[in-house]
Amino acid sequence: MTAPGRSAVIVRNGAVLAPVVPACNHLALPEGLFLALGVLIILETDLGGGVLAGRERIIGTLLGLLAVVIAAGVLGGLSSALGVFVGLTLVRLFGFAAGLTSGFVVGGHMVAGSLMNHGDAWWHYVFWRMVMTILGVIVGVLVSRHIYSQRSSSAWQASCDGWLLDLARLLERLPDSPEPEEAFAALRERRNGLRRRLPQLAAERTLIHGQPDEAVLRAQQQLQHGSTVMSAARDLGLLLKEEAPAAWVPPGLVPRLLDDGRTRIEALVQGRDAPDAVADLGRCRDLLSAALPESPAAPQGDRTQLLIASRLLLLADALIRLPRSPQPQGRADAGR
Amino acid sequence: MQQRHEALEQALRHAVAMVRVPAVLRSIDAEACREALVRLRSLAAAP
Repeated sequence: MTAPGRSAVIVRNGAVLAPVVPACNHLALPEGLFLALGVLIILETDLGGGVLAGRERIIGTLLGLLAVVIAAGVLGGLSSALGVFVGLTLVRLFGFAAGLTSGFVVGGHMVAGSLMNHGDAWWHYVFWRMVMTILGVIVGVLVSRHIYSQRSSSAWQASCDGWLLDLARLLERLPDSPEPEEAFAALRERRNGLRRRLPQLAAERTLIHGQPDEAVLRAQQQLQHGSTVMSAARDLGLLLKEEAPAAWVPPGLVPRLLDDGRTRIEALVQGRDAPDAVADLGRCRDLLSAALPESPAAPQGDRTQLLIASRLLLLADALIRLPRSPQPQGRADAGR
Repeated sequence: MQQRHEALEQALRHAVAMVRVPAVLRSIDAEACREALVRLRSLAAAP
């Protein structure tokens, strides 16, 4: 996000939250603070991240409510310390069972806040806290979706395009790259980061379209085929340092394929297909397949050559299958 | 530890490639993967 973009989000969040707290007080909403906290947790991040955070908060709150009801009901007249112990243990167990990553903390607050601070009025506290949390999350999602909306999909696509472009640049200088291992390790880290952010992309698209749509599928395909390009190129870099391609590999095929790869990726990032590069990649693949030795069970000495051929075929295939990125106009439309 | 890490990474790399490469070349990666695993086992057995 650009600096003016960040400032606009800060102003939006402040403008939304500033009236929410006095409004809760004015309307005398019971446990109204949790409505404001629900809004805040959604607005802290982009729409997809907010949806995931809201889901965690609501499920954690509901599980906390269940734990409090069980602990207070079963242990009725016993000490609050034992009730809190049982409640917190139940929250943790429920949290694991529901696959929560952070929501159990909110559940723990429900247990501790009700049994330790609200004594006999625990039901009033947990019930209204749950209602206000759900309302807050709903308000937060509405604001995040309709007012200066920050979309996971556009941020994700920009990161993915940057990753693919750096991969293309690495392909261009692959045979002579001085420190390919470090460059590939950095690219792998970035790929892992993109993979970790897929759930919030899917959550956002599900919120907007009712189910994970073609944008999520395309993101998965970009990661899958981009990863194959990355690992094939990494292996090729090492193998070509070890040995030059054998005489049976069509002459000039390696630089030609790498050049096509760079052209293809750069075009895909711009939303184009680069049909000439695709056709040439297909020709390279066919030429290499036809040139392969009759029996792949080759003697030990030829294994490096067969591995080079294998990675070249893999690279060509992944480059052909890599889908194109949505164009900026398409991205803006896709996010709305 | 470094050698074990390298052997494990190599085994994984060939295992992943086995799934992706054309069938005719799969045996090369299978063999390389097996060798890396044998090396990993001998390194694990070493004191």
